[in-house]
Amino acid sequence: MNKANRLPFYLGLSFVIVLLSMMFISLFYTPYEPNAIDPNNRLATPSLAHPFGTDNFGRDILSRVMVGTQTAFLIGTTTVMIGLSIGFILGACAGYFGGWLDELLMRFIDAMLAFPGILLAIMLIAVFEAGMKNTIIALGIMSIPAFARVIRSSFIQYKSYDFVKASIAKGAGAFHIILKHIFPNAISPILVVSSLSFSGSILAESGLSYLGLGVQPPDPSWGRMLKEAQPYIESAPWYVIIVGSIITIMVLGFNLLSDGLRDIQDRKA
Amino acid sequence: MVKPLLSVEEVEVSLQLPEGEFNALERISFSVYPNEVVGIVGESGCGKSLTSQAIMGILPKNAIIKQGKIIFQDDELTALSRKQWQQIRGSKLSMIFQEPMTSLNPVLTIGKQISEVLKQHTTLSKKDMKEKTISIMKEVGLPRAAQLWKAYPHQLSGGMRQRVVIAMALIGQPKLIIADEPTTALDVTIQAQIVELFKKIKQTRNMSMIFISHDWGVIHAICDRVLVMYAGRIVEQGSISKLLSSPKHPYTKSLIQSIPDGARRGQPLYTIPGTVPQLHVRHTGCPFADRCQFKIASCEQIFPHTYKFNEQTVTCHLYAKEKEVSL
Repeated sequence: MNKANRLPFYLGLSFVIVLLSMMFISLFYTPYEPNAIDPNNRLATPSLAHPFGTDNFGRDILSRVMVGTQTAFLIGTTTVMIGLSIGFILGACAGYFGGWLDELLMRFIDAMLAFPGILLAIMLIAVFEAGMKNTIIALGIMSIPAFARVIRSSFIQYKSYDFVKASIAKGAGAFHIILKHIFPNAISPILVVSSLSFSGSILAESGLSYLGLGVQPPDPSWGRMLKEAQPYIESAPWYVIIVGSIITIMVLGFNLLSDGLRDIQDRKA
Repeated sequence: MVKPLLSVEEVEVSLQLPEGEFNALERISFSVYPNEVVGIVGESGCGKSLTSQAIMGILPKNAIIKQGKIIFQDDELTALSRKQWQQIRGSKLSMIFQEPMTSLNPVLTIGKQISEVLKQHTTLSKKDMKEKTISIMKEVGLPRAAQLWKAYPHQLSGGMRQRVVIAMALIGQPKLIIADEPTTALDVTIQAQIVELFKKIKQTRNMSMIFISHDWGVIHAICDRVLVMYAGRIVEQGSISKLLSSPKHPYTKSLIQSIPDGARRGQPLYTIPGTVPQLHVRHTGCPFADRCQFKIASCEQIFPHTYKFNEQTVTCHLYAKEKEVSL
């Protein structure tokens, strides 16, 4: 029973660790120069020399996928950081102070939620310009509501606890109580949302890049590789399959991780 | 005459409920003098905790102080700003909560939680803070203080946690501690140890205490003076020995009568019939009238005056012939 419950967590963790190590390796070493073109070796089938084959310009797909992990992790971490920091401020204030401030902030969050996420990103990118920075900003804004809601609910739950009252009775101010007393208690739900939002933003980035709105060349991106692979889906199916699988593994890994975290946390509670 | 440390004057607290607004505390007046331990007794729902929360300024959001003054040292507490409150709480005025299980933060170490007060109110170095914390932990009888400094609340037993809570209240060397039923959540042997600790604190420390309980045994062991509360009012007050030997108010009499007594072995325990009236059914007369054995005609309509006998005061129609105190 216990083991079965933890399986998704460990499975997700191992996926994430594999991709994470791929990213670290790619910082120092890739089998080939990811942008090196080899016209004689276009769309080569997977072999010992090119384990994942080559693309339509003869570039090594393994090397490109490895470098793509850097982009994916960069986008994931930065969007989570943006979403978490702004979501924390909004959620903590709404939850801790309550009253009209809560109403105001939560209606604002509701309005954001009512907006289809990817549409918001497309709109922002259309107004400014496509590229890594704007993709990150757009995805970060998209992830604020999820963080704000979860953090708010934790704060509402914990602010009525006796230890918060005891801290007020010790002369602590609101800032101190929010950061030192309630935040450490709210870490596990925050972790769950973080890992969900991490995979969500990688998926969204792939989608945007596939549409040509996300990361622009020469920055490598899985979504754009998928788009490039599309015309060759009949002649070189492994190209699409490999890139698609990598995205799936990344998203699945983080989703399993957050599911597992939630299970562990629920059992504790 | 000595100046009181805390004086509560004619305080009225009302609760905003979905059914309307009700006065939960009515014209509460009492004083606490330096080095004095004042007990508050009464059944649940009589306003004991509300009184302590009003003094600490931590009333729930739906409760407001409608009138009256709470004067602590020279400060009028009901008029303090948030900043002033933060300065007073923990350093001059502190509180011990009922539930040692929930009044400690589960994710912070014991040491951090006790020294938090010092962080708020002093500029001591980390090392001095730790030293002071460990010495206070020893004072409240926590064994292996140095190791416990790094322990988390779940590693401690209920009795030890309550000692930690007491240490948290003591470390700022407050002038007044409000203890809201600090022994209620503990089992009897631990309760006896904590009562001993309170007695020791009373002897060694130069401070006053308001001690809320419904256990006369605990009150008798610790308190100098007692207030008896019923339905949001103080119905009787006096020294603990006077109250126990010659209770005046019928409610106090009934409370004392319901203490289990070895001399009445084999007889059924006395209980007061009925319950404390709900907020919305309280009327203009004496709130205890419905449960009182000595009820007279005026009890239902008119709230009684307060009468004074030496150091004892009682709010009951039965003493109308005696000298009335101006209130």
